[in-house]
Amino acid sequence: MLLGSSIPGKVLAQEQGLPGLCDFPLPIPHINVPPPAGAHFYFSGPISGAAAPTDPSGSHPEGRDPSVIFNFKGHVGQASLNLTGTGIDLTTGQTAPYAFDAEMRFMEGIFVGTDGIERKASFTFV
Amino acid sequence: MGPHSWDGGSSATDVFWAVNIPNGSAHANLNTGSASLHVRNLCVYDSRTVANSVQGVNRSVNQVLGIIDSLDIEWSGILSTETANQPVNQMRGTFIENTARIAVTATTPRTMVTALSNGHGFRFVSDPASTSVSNFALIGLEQNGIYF
Repeated sequence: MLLGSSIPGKVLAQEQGLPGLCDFPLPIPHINVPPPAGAHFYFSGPISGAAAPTDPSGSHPEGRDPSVIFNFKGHVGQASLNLTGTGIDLTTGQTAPYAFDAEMRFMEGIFVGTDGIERKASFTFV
Repeated sequence: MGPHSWDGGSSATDVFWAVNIPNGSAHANLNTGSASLHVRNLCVYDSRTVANSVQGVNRSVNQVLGIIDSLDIEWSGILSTETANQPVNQMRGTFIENTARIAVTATTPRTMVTALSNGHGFRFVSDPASTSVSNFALIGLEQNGIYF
Protein backbone atom coordinates (compact mmCIF):
# COMPACT_ATOMS: atom_id res chain seq x y z
CA MET A 1 0.00 0.00 0.00
CA LEU A 2 1.26 3.43 -0.87
CA LEU A 3 0.33 6.29 1.41
CA GLY A 4 0.92 9.82 0.31
CA SER A 5 0.30 13.10 2.00
CA SER A 6 1.29 16.71 1.62
CA ILE A 7 0.98 17.22 5.36
CA PRO A 8 4.35 17.54 7.06
CA GLY A 9 5.24 14.79 9.47
CA LYS A 10 5.48 17.19 12.37
CA VAL A 11 1.83 18.14 12.02
CA LEU A 12 0.79 14.50 11.88
CA ALA A 13 2.72 13.80 15.04
CA GLN A 14 0.84 16.51 16.88
CA GLU A 15 -2.61 15.74 15.57
CA GLN A 16 -2.36 12.03 16.13
CA GLY A 17 -1.41 12.58 19.72
CA LEU A 18 1.76 10.55 19.60
CA PRO A 19 3.05 9.74 23.07
CA GLY A 20 5.56 12.56 23.21
CA LEU A 21 7.91 10.51 25.32
CA CYS A 22 10.72 13.01 24.89
CA ASP A 23 8.82 16.15 24.03
CA PHE A 24 10.22 18.32 26.79
CA PRO A 25 10.32 22.03 25.99
CA LEU A 26 13.69 23.72 26.12
CA PRO A 27 14.50 26.76 28.26
CA ILE A 28 15.45 30.16 26.90
CA PRO A 29 19.25 30.59 26.85
CA HIS A 30 19.33 33.44 29.36
CA ILE A 31 20.38 32.45 32.87
CA ASN A 32 19.41 34.80 35.63
CA VAL A 33 22.25 36.14 37.77
CA PRO A 34 21.95 36.62 41.54
CA PRO A 35 19.59 36.94 43.12
CA PRO A 36 18.83 34.12 42.57
CA ALA A 37 21.27 32.21 40.40
CA GLY A 38 21.01 29.61 37.75
CA ALA A 39 17.47 29.71 36.44
CA HIS A 40 16.53 30.35 32.82
CA PHE A 41 14.21 33.34 33.08
CA TYR A 42 14.00 37.11 33.17
CA PHE A 43 12.21 38.87 35.97
CA SER A 44 9.27 41.00 34.89
CA GLY A 45 10.17 44.27 33.27
CA PRO A 46 10.07 46.20 30.02
CA ILE A 47 10.96 44.27 26.88
CA SER A 48 13.65 46.89 26.21
CA GLY A 49 15.56 45.59 29.21
CA ALA A 50 15.39 48.87 31.08
CA ALA A 51 15.74 48.71 34.83
CA ALA A 52 12.49 48.10 36.66
CA PRO A 53 11.41 47.78 40.31
CA THR A 54 10.14 44.28 39.52
CA ASP A 55 13.59 43.06 38.41
CA PRO A 56 16.18 42.82 41.21
CA SER A 57 18.81 41.70 38.69
CA GLY A 58 18.95 45.17 37.12
CA SER A 59 18.88 46.23 33.49
CA HIS A 60 19.46 43.98 30.48
CA PRO A 61 20.97 45.69 27.41
CA GLU A 62 20.05 42.68 25.29
CA GLY A 63 16.37 43.05 26.24
CA ARG A 64 14.05 40.71 28.12
CA ASP A 65 12.23 37.67 26.76
CA PRO A 66 9.08 37.06 28.85
CA SER A 67 8.84 33.47 27.62
CA VAL A 68 10.69 30.75 29.49
CA ILE A 69 10.19 28.34 26.56
CA PHE A 70 12.65 28.39 23.66
CA ASN A 71 11.87 27.48 20.06
CA PHE A 72 8.49 28.98 20.78
CA LYS A 73 6.05 31.03 18.71
CA GLY A 74 2.82 32.34 20.15
CA HIS A 75 1.12 34.58 22.66
CA VAL A 76 2.61 35.42 26.02
CA GLY A 77 1.27 37.16 29.08
CA GLN A 78 3.24 38.29 32.09
CA ALA A 79 2.17 39.84 35.37
CA SER A 80 3.88 40.78 38.61
CA LEU A 81 1.18 41.21 41.22
CA ASN A 82 0.50 41.68 44.91
CA LEU A 83 -2.61 40.10 46.36
CA THR A 84 -4.23 39.58 49.71
CA GLY A 85 -6.63 37.01 51.07
CA THR A 86 -7.32 34.51 53.80
CA GLY A 87 -5.19 31.57 54.87
CA ILE A 88 -6.95 28.59 56.43
CA ASP A 89 -5.42 25.78 58.52
CA LEU A 90 -7.19 22.69 57.16
CA THR A 91 -6.88 20.83 60.47
CA THR A 92 -7.78 23.46 63.06
CA GLY A 93 -9.87 25.77 60.89
CA GLN A 94 -7.82 28.72 62.10
CA THR A 95 -7.76 31.63 59.66
CA ALA A 96 -5.40 34.53 59.18
CA PRO A 97 -4.89 37.33 56.67
CA TYR A 98 -2.23 36.54 54.09
CA ALA A 99 -0.44 38.57 51.45
CA PHE A 100 1.36 37.12 48.45
CA ASP A 101 3.60 38.32 45.66
CA ALA A 102 2.78 36.56 42.40
CA GLU A 103 4.95 36.30 39.31
CA MET A 104 2.66 34.77 36.70
CA ARG A 105 2.88 34.13 32.96
CA PHE A 106 1.40 32.13 30.16
CA MET A 107 2.80 30.94 26.86
CA GLU A 108 0.35 29.58 24.31
CA GLY A 109 1.39 28.60 20.82
CA ILE A 110 3.75 26.12 19.20
CA PHE A 111 7.14 24.91 20.31
CA VAL A 112 9.81 22.48 19.25
CA GLY A 113 11.23 20.49 22.13
CA THR A 114 13.81 17.82 22.64
CA ASP A 115 12.34 15.44 20.08
CA GLY A 116 12.48 18.04 17.30
CA ILE A 117 8.74 17.84 16.65
CA GLU A 118 6.57 20.93 16.49
CA ARG A 119 3.67 20.82 18.91
CA LYS A 120 0.86 23.10 19.95
CA ALA A 121 0.89 23.64 23.69
CA SER A 122 0.07 25.98 26.53
CA PHE A 123 2.12 26.62 29.63
CA THR A 124 1.68 28.69 32.72
CA PHE A 125 4.56 30.03 34.74
CA VAL A 126 3.85 29.61 38.43
CA MET B 1 0.27 28.23 59.40
CA GLY B 2 3.57 29.75 58.29
CA PRO B 3 4.75 30.91 54.91
CA HIS B 4 3.81 29.25 51.65
CA SER B 5 5.18 29.50 48.13
CA TRP B 6 3.66 27.49 45.32
CA ASP B 7 5.74 26.90 42.21
CA GLY B 8 5.82 24.68 39.16
CA GLY B 9 9.35 23.42 39.75
CA SER B 10 11.88 22.93 37.00
CA SER B 11 11.53 20.43 34.16
CA ALA B 12 14.03 17.75 33.26
CA THR B 13 15.34 20.22 30.71
CA ASP B 14 15.61 23.08 33.24
CA VAL B 15 12.59 25.00 32.04
CA PHE B 16 11.80 27.15 35.03
CA TRP B 17 8.42 27.11 36.82
CA ALA B 18 6.50 26.29 33.64
CA VAL B 19 3.65 23.80 33.82
CA ASN B 20 1.77 22.39 30.86
CA ILE B 21 -1.90 23.41 30.87
CA PRO B 22 -4.78 22.55 28.55
CA ASN B 23 -4.80 24.33 25.21
CA GLY B 24 -7.30 27.14 25.29
CA SER B 25 -6.53 28.10 28.88
CA ALA B 26 -5.13 31.42 27.72
CA HIS B 27 -6.40 33.95 25.23
CA ALA B 28 -4.88 37.21 24.04
CA ASN B 29 -6.04 40.03 21.80
CA LEU B 30 -3.28 42.52 21.08
CA ASN B 31 -5.67 44.86 19.32
CA THR B 32 -7.59 45.50 22.51
CA GLY B 33 -4.74 44.87 24.95
CA SER B 34 -6.74 42.16 26.66
CA ALA B 35 -5.85 38.64 27.67
CA SER B 36 -6.97 36.03 30.13
CA LEU B 37 -5.62 32.95 31.83
CA HIS B 38 -7.95 30.47 33.50
CA VAL B 39 -6.50 27.36 35.12
CA ARG B 40 -8.03 24.73 37.37
CA ASN B 41 -6.44 21.97 39.44
CA LEU B 42 -2.81 22.60 38.65
CA CYS B 43 -0.30 20.38 40.48
CA VAL B 44 2.56 22.39 41.98
CA TYR B 45 5.07 22.32 44.82
CA ASP B 46 4.66 24.19 48.09
CA SER B 47 8.21 25.24 48.85
CA ARG B 48 7.14 27.60 51.68
CA THR B 49 9.38 30.51 50.68
CA VAL B 50 10.28 32.18 47.41
CA ALA B 51 13.96 31.41 48.01
CA ASN B 52 13.10 27.72 48.36
CA SER B 53 10.93 27.84 45.25
CA VAL B 54 13.73 29.36 43.22
CA GLN B 55 16.22 26.75 44.35
CA GLY B 56 13.79 23.83 44.50
CA VAL B 57 14.77 23.00 48.07
CA ASN B 58 13.24 22.64 51.54
CA ARG B 59 9.86 21.48 50.33
CA SER B 60 7.74 20.14 53.16
CA VAL B 61 7.44 16.89 51.29
CA ASN B 62 9.77 16.54 48.35
CA GLN B 63 7.21 15.76 45.73
CA VAL B 64 4.50 17.67 43.94
CA LEU B 65 2.09 18.33 46.76
CA GLY B 66 0.19 21.51 46.20
CA ILE B 67 -2.76 22.44 44.08
CA ILE B 68 -3.65 25.66 42.40
CA ASP B 69 -7.38 25.03 42.68
CA SER B 70 -8.27 28.00 40.55
CA LEU B 71 -6.30 30.76 38.91
CA ASP B 72 -7.87 33.61 36.99
CA ILE B 73 -5.87 36.50 35.59
CA GLU B 74 -7.19 39.23 33.35
CA TRP B 75 -4.98 41.67 31.42
CA SER B 76 -6.47 44.88 30.10
CA GLY B 77 -5.63 48.27 28.66
CA ILE B 78 -2.80 49.56 26.52
CA LEU B 79 -0.19 51.65 28.31
CA SER B 80 2.44 51.30 25.58
CA THR B 81 3.29 49.17 22.57
CA GLU B 82 6.79 47.97 21.72
CA THR B 83 8.32 45.83 19.02
CA ALA B 84 11.41 43.81 19.82
CA ASN B 85 14.20 42.27 17.83
CA GLN B 86 16.75 40.75 20.19
CA PRO B 87 19.59 38.85 18.49
CA VAL B 88 21.18 37.87 21.80
CA ASN B 89 17.95 36.28 23.00
CA GLN B 90 17.01 35.15 19.48
CA MET B 91 13.58 36.66 20.04
CA ARG B 92 11.35 39.11 18.23
CA GLY B 93 7.79 40.16 18.73
CA THR B 94 5.25 42.80 19.54
CA PHE B 95 4.32 43.57 23.12
CA ILE B 96 1.81 45.71 24.98
CA GLU B 97 2.32 46.89 28.52
CA ASN B 98 -0.92 47.03 30.46
CA THR B 99 -2.30 46.03 33.85
CA ALA B 100 -3.48 42.75 35.30
CA ARG B 101 -5.70 41.45 38.07
CA ILE B 102 -5.60 38.07 39.77
CA ALA B 103 -7.85 35.82 41.80
CA VAL B 104 -6.49 32.52 43.07
CA THR B 105 -7.26 29.68 45.42
CA ALA B 106 -4.45 27.29 46.32
CA THR B 107 -4.21 24.33 48.65
CA THR B 108 -1.49 22.33 50.31
CA PRO B 109 -3.26 19.15 51.43
CA ARG B 110 -2.86 17.56 54.83
CA THR B 111 0.14 15.30 54.81
CA MET B 112 2.63 13.54 57.02
CA VAL B 113 4.38 15.55 59.70
CA THR B 114 7.90 16.44 58.65
CA ALA B 115 10.66 18.61 60.03
CA LEU B 116 9.36 21.34 57.76
CA SER B 117 5.60 20.95 58.17
CA ASN B 118 3.05 20.19 60.88
CA GLY B 119 1.06 18.36 58.22
CA HIS B 120 -2.11 20.35 58.93
CA GLY B 121 -2.74 21.41 55.37
CA PHE B 122 -3.36 24.97 54.24
CA ARG B 123 -5.60 26.81 51.86
CA PHE B 124 -5.33 30.35 50.57
CA VAL B 125 -8.36 32.11 49.15
CA SER B 126 -7.58 35.46 47.62
CA ASP B 127 -9.66 38.55 47.99
CA PRO B 128 -11.56 39.58 44.84
CA ALA B 129 -9.36 40.25 41.81
CA SER B 130 -10.27 43.92 41.95
CA THR B 131 -8.21 44.25 45.13
CA SER B 132 -4.97 42.92 43.61
CA VAL B 133 -2.18 45.31 42.68
CA SER B 134 -0.49 45.14 39.29
CA ASN B 135 3.19 46.04 39.52
CA PHE B 136 4.00 45.15 35.92
CA ALA B 137 2.04 43.44 33.17
CA LEU B 138 2.35 42.82 29.48
CA ILE B 139 0.99 40.66 26.72
CA GLY B 140 2.58 39.93 23.40
CA LEU B 141 3.06 37.83 20.33
CA GLU B 142 6.61 36.55 20.02
CA GLN B 143 8.81 34.04 18.32
CA ASN B 144 12.17 32.81 19.54
CA GLY B 145 14.78 30.16 18.88
CA ILE B 146 14.25 28.41 15.56
CA TYR B 147 11.36 30.79 14.83
CA PHE B 148 13.49 33.91 15.31
